[in-house]
Amino acid sequence: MANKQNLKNVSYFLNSPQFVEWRLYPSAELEEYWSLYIEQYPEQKEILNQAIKKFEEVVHLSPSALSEKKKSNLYERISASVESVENKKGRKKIYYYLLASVAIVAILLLTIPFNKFMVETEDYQALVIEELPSENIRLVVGDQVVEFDSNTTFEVSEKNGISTSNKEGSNVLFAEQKKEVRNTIIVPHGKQSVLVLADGTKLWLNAGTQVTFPTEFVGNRREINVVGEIYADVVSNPAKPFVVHTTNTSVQVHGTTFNVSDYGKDGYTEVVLVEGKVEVKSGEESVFLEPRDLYRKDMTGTAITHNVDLSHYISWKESLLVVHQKNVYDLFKYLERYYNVKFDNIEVVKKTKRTCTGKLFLSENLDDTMKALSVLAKIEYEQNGKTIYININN
Amino acid sequence: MTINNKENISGLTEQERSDIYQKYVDSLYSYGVSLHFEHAQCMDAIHDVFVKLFTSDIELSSEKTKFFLFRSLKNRLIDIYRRNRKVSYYSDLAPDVDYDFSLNINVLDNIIAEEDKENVEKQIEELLSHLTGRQREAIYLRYFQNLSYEEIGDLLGMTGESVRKLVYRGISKIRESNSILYLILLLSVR
Repeated sequence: MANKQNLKNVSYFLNSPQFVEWRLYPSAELEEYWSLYIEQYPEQKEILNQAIKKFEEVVHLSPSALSEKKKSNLYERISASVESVENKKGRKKIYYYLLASVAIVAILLLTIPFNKFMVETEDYQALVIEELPSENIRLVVGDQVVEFDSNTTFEVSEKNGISTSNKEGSNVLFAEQKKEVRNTIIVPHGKQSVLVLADGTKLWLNAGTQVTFPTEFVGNRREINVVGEIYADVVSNPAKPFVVHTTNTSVQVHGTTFNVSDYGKDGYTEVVLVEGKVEVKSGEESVFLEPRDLYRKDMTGTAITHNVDLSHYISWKESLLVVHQKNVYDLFKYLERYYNVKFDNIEVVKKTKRTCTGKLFLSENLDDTMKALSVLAKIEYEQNGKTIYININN
Repeated sequence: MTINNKENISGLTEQERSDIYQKYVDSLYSYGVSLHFEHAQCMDAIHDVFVKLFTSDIELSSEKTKFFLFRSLKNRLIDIYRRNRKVSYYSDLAPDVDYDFSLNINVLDNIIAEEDKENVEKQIEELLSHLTGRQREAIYLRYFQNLSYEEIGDLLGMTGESVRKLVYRGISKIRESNSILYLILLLSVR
């Protein structure tokens, strides 16, 4: 047991190894030691308690260096993310429901012409993001234009005109219009929309897409025009085939459902069939696709690939980009189109020829997407205002 | 969207979220720094774990919340570490591999005599220097964060019993030069 002592002061305990160890790791043995100590020297109890208090006051292990300001900034960031996640959760449910009803998918993609200049590589490269003017989703009927600033579902009915719903609420527009009128929906970059046509056919319109459709399908064909990318769930009606016209091709549904898209510029056309049967016509050429076939037409000609992984082509509907050994440069180009931003200098990425595989969630917040991309593509990035510095790890 | 007095996915009100955040943010930050992560990485990881907590519908009692946050933070940090080998203080994170867990000793100097301060610091440094990083982490979590052995085991990738042994080994190691305590230890074996 401890040596005989007279009344000790606080300092004595603070300088005792047994005391410091006890305060650091109050093991059963040390607890017993000190309770025996107090039993033996009850007059020390008060001093010992003072020493314990002092020790707790002054000794800090790994003290936080976070200022109140940093703490409150971080909390604001967390609150903003929480809110955005909550909004997304609501939206996801809709997507799952929609997915279950989809039978056929065909997609047309656009290549973006590359700027052919190279930049010296350094460890860190800056990407300057230029935000192009943001636009609303527009519904054009005759000479009238209605704008929507959030993702919107449009439903066309012969009786009620066009009804719309988005997070701001629902509305009925153009209830009394001529049946033959051609309407146009223009979805800008960074947004998506859903369109239910008069026959019940459902279209998902990807960012940067324009679709022209009638209020009611008259005649012996159901025809719409598309520039951009859509995913379609077509209601079957053999007597009245459904045809999607794009700049370079037309896709005709034989049977149930299909999806088509065409950005119309100097790119390529891709059609992917999930289920059912479609016929792709381009000039004099006509091809029938089987499920999981990828039709691709570009400057060099037409090619059909069998058994493609469908998720790579249809995942955009869930705001999810599934990539498999995709060039990181192409991903950046995709993000440019999706978010309507311009990455200056991304040829440094092109130079690495790096590919990546995985799922990229296309958040409404570009920074969140960059964060995910940095993991997927094994790059580091740091954002400073409108400039993103990236570092390609080896 | 009004969240001030409305319950959301997590079932927590805005006030409750804020309280939880204020209660744990310092400990979490300290823990991240002790594991040798940089400030920005710690901030990002802390952001992620709170977002996860506030957007998940799992129900946590208040004592489980702390453990949930610590475990989520460590998992996030390990993710960050794996994709950024520059922070290579550990060669691996397998349970049998040691890594550094550093505890900064900070004895506030305005309310303690200079001599006492130096002595206390010296003693703590001495005690900690005998420990491995893993032992330091276990002891920090056990005695400064009051997590249970089982919870620490989960964090360190080992069983609660192994943590008990780990902490015990750590303590008995620093006890080797302390005969009085060692004797007591022998006398009070359960």
